[in-house]
Amino acid sequence: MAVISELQRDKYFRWQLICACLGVAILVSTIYVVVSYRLSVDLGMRLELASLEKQTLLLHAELIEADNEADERMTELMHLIHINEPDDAVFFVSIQGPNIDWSLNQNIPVQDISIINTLMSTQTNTHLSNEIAKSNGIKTIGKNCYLWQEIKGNGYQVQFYHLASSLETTLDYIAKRLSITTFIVIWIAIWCALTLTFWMSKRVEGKNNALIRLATHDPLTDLPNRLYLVDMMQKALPDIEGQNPITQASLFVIDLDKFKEVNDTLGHSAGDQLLKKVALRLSSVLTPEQTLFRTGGDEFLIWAPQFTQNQAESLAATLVHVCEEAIIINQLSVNTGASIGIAHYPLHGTDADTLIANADHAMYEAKQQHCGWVTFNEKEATDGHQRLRLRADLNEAFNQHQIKFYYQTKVNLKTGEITGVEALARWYHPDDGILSPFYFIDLIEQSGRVQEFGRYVIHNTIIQLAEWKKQGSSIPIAINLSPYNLLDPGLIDFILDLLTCYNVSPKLLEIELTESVTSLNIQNISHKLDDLKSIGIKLAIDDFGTGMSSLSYISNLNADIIKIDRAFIVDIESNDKHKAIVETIIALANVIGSSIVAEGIENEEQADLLTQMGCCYGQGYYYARPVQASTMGKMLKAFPVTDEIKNGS
Amino acid sequence: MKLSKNLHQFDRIFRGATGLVITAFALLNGDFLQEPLLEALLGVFGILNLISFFFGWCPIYHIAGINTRSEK
Repeated sequence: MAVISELQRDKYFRWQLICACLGVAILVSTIYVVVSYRLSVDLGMRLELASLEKQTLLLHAELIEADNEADERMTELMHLIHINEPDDAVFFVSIQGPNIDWSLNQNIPVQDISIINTLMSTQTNTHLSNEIAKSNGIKTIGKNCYLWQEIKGNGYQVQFYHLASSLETTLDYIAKRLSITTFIVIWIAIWCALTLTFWMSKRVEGKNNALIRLATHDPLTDLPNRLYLVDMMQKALPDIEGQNPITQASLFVIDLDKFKEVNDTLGHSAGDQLLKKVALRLSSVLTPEQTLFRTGGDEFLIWAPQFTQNQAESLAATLVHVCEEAIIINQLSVNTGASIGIAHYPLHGTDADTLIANADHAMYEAKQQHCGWVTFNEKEATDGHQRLRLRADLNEAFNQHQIKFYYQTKVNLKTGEITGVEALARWYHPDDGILSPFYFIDLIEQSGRVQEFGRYVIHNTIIQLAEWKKQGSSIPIAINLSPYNLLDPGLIDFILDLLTCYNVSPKLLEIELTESVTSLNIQNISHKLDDLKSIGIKLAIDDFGTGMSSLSYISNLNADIIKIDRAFIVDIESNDKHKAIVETIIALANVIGSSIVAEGIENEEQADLLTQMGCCYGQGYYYARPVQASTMGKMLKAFPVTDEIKNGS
Repeated sequence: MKLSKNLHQFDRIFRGATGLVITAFALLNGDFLQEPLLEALLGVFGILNLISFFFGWCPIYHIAGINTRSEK
């Protein structure tokens, strides 16, 4: 997980801090050493220059006093001045006057002397008094740095050059102290760097750990969250190189069944208490190797590495049992059950996302079946995936008219004549082939396009009626509508407009409503049913006997046709109870004046028995399977249509 | 401050040698340095290193949470 890795402690942080501290120490020391060294050299140069000036002045003063013995006097003085200097001392003295032209060169190259002479001639003299003028300076020639001094006055000119010794002296006296000081400074810097970086990295680590905990733990129960789980699973499951730290594992998704009720009735604080207590209970049955997570709401997850399927099922049973025990919240005993889904690694997935999704799917299965726990089942998941895919394809089905209709005949049981047909929808799916309504009716109802689909069915049926009419067959078509279609406010006008447009009699249109659903919505749709009946459309109750079979509902609905569900017909010849029920329905229909159609007749025996019992109409494979419109058109031409249809009854 | 050893053997020997050299230099350099403050500082460093050598424990390592002893 990116978030966790971003929050991980920077391993190089401390080293970076140490290097920064040392870098600063070395930089500061270097600056101090350079500045101190230059300062010392400058100071030494000035002192040397001042000394040279004094020596030159002394020589000049002696010249004035010496008169005839100037040469000897100068030699003696130079000896005295440099008595303490080694023999390799470098200097040059030149004295010129009325009675003297004396010079002494010790170790200075002649070309250096001429360069300094040229330099001196360009310098401005400073006048000490009316008689004496002086000038001095520093000249670097090659590697040598010379100090020079010139005194003019009283007819004498004294020039004194001396090689500067400050650089060497500074190196000797200052540099060794500075280098040892630098050594000590860097040593202290290392101490400080180690201590400071420890202190700083400790603080940063503390903050980082707090952030990681916030990001990866649920604050209510203090359990790790989904982020932590995914990170943990990614580390535990094999990586790309195929290294496999674990061979098998189980993932549990636990959802509390009655958490919402507790939250709604006792308040959110009670819900929080419940979650904390459940978390404690769940933790109490786990071993240290197993980890409990809370991923949000009332959903917990358990990751159990090296856990077989049998062990997982055993643990799931324990967990369900633990969750079923009553918990005292606000002095009330709350009994919250749990539904658990189990996914097993590597059987049900090899990566974290798949395992979580599959365990989640199994948990929903467990919730629907109220069976406590369910292990992930591949086939159920495939069905679920197919439903998801079909839901996505539904839009295309509408746009491209992929839903087409098959027709199954209804016959007069006595004569075998066709009395009508029932339109049965089929989805011509481009990938899955022909799908029965079982696969898509629920999807349509859930998608909110049920009224659009209802109009689509009605439109197609009326077009088909018009087409058959052109071919000379006027046979009623029964369509199955959902009660939700009857809530469509413009439905009646829509039907009337189409009937008028295609010049089709409303008596040829039958609407079948499933009893189980209709009975629940009778109050809402009764007016609409009355309207439909008033314009001549027949109403049929489909699958009668499987729903509530409320007598008041039967009497309110005033259905023209009652269709007995195939469940009672399939074994009517052997099942006395079903036979009795069918007899009762037929008797009831006769009393309230409705026609009876028996569904699902598969053999002659059933047809004969129903005829004996007074049932007039039936449909089923015994007579005809559902066929396409074109085939049905041919059948209608081949078989005669009953008189009652012709009369439009 | 608990005196638990935190120096590896090499670290310890290095400190012993460094401490000996630096202390000896601080005491016996004669007129080389001509700076009492530097001599005192070098002396302190030398003695601290010798203490680390004797006890196998470095106070700075202790504060900084470093332990070279465990990296044997």
